[in-house]
Amino acid sequence: MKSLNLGSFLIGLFLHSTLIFSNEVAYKTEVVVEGLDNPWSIAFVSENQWLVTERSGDLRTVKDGILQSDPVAGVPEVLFAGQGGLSEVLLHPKFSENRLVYLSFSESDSVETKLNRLTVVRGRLEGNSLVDIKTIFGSHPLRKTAAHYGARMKFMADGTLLITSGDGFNYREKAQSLDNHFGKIVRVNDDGSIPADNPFLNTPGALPEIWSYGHRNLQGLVIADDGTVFEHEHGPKGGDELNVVEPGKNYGWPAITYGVDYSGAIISPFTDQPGMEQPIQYWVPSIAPSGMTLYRGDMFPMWKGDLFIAALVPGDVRRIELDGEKAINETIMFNEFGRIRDVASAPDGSLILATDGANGKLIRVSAVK
Amino acid sequence: MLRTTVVFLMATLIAMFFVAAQTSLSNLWWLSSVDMPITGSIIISMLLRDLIGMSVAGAFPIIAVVVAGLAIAFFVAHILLKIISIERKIIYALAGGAALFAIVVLMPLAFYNLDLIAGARTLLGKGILITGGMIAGYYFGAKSKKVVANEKS
Repeated sequence: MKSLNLGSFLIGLFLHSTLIFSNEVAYKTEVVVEGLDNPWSIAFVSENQWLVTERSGDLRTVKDGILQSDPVAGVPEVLFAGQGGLSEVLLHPKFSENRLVYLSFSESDSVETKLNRLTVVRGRLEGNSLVDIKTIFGSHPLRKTAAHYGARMKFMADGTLLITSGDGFNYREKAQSLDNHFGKIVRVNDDGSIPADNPFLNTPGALPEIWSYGHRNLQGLVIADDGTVFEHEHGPKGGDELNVVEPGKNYGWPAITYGVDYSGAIISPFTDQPGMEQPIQYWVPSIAPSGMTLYRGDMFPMWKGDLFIAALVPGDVRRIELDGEKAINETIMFNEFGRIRDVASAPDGSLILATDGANGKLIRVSAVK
Repeated sequence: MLRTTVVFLMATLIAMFFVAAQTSLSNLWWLSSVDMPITGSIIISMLLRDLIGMSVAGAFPIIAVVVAGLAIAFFVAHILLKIISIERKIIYALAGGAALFAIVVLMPLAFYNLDLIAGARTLLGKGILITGGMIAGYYFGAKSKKVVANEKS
């Protein structure tokens, strides 16, 4: 019986852990957690404690590699439909002092219940509960569609928070006007108030939170140490983009695009236009970019400073080597796990991949010692 | 049978023309409103590309949806013609309109309210496409072979 158990263990280990030796770097992959319901985002409280969002509405904790059975209490009710649900989890830069956690999610309006919005709340993590929850952003206007929320967040070095807000699918043209949050990156202070140096603060008719516009469905956001903001967004059928984003600039959607509509129709015959920014990389056909990290760890020195982009289609991770603000090389990696929803850099320097779907896994990529 | 098939395909093309043209023109209208340089050649090119693209190049083939919608609607109209007395062109026109209504109004309900045909995102757009379906149905009713002796023509 013991030998059978040992055999099962070894077979399990083989199935769950794979060693890869490439010309460049040797790494192994291992399934750390499985059975997550549509995992979407990961935040690292410490090397041994992670928070993971499940799009169906739970915030889960992983301690020492074990998924805790009880989800974090106090998370607001979310609209789990279509592409919506509980999305990003992000720690405040001073989390160790204030224990503040930020969550983005889609939620139905309390009055017009057939309509919904992207909402961002913050709460204080006390034990296994979120307390003192405060809404710091709600997208305007409401939408009827359950798609294209964006919902990624990152803190800038000055302590302000960038939030990506997608175009809502049906409302793509609104990405070009400043009186709404469709297809925008917005910037707020950590309490939701408006920073005094936002680019459209004094523009008549413009919402003061808007930081950049002309985006589609932005699901990747990182900020480099020098302050450069990288964002990726889903294109339609083709035309996914990786952009360097600057305040006040227009990224063109849907007036310019490298993609066509899912129906095969032309959205715009134009791919460039004065006053509209070009991506530093685009993909035709689409890879469905769904999450991104900038690798800063020491475990893989060769990867330092590279972007890793999770791709849902066909299901892999794109490693983008940068030269300043230029993308100079792309490598397809980790294409054996299916659709990858997110990729994150763990404090120990390993990469954590979150697979998409109702039986989502967290997969650790670490160096072979 | 051959005549019915040819007339059905023509009716499908009429409906597809409305779907593609409404999508092209609504996109072009908006692009023009934000000062994108729309020219006559761009309009013609986009109309033609959308007619072809929406028929064969989409992630899902709109033309297959239209064919299926019209086929079901015309079959129901064919049955109804046997049991009620109504002008053939009228019932097929209503059937064509119902088919497009299902495609532009009911189908999005199954996709989280996403209007997958861009030209159908507004009420006006939906109305135009339903009208296109009615015209396609009217054409089918007028040109296809009568199958019941006591039908009104």
